[in-house]
Amino acid sequence: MIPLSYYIMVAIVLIGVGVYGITVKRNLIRILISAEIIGNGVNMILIAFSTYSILFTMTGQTLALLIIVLSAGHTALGLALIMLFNRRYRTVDLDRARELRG
Amino acid sequence: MLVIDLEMIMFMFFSAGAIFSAVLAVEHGEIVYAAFSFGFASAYVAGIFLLLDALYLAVIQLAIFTGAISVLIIFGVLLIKREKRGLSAEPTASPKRRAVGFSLASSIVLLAFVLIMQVPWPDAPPESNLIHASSLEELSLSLWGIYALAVNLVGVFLLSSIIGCVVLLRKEKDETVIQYRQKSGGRGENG
Repeated sequence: MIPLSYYIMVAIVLIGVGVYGITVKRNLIRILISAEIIGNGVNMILIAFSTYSILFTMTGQTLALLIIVLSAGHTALGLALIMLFNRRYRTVDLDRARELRG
Repeated sequence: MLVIDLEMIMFMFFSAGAIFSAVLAVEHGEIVYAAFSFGFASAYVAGIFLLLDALYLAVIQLAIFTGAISVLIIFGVLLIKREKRGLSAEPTASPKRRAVGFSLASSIVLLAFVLIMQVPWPDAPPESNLIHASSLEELSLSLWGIYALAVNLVGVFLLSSIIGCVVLLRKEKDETVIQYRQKSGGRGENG
């Protein structure tokens, strides 16, 4: 069997890649993709803990399922906001969002 | 001691593929390929879910992340107009920003690795979990038992996000039609 720490390490690397993408990239769609990568890493940690734990056998899987469904919703909403931003400013550059004043 | 068996080989394959595809999704110059890479990364993560005996969640991951979300992102990219100066309107990050982001991400990963090394994690799941982990009945009992309120709230969130998307993008459509008619000089009304 594979030790639990290996799964956590892979998930942490995925979260690190996502954090790098959110911090460095200025394209809004790429930031959305990076957030989804972080979500994948978090789901992996939850499921690994639920499989390796005696007490919380199904808790991690249930939470991961809810997170997956929530990811679909916030991606759709985020893309709608990005398209609205693009129509108004003709760009997807995050730095232009600093001009937003409501 | 590390034993190389078929499961370990599959774990290495899936994890290497997931990390490589995730890096491609963040760093690829063309954003359509980045969205494809994200789909591949999600598929590899679904493979890791299979190794963890979470069969149902692997299927859900494939259906929603690889199927729905990556296709949604690709459609979003296609609907956004490109700028003339470069591919997919990608603004370049400054070296300072890149260095700050890389140091932040690597410090998070290193700190987490150091903390992981301090804890004696189990090498194998308990025998009783192997029966329950892939059971759909247990998952549905958990979903509609203590997490029933959360499931309902997620449903409300999905409904509100659908309504929000429609409200956000509907007004602009009328304006686009008016602009199109003005551009075509009223030809749209005649035929």
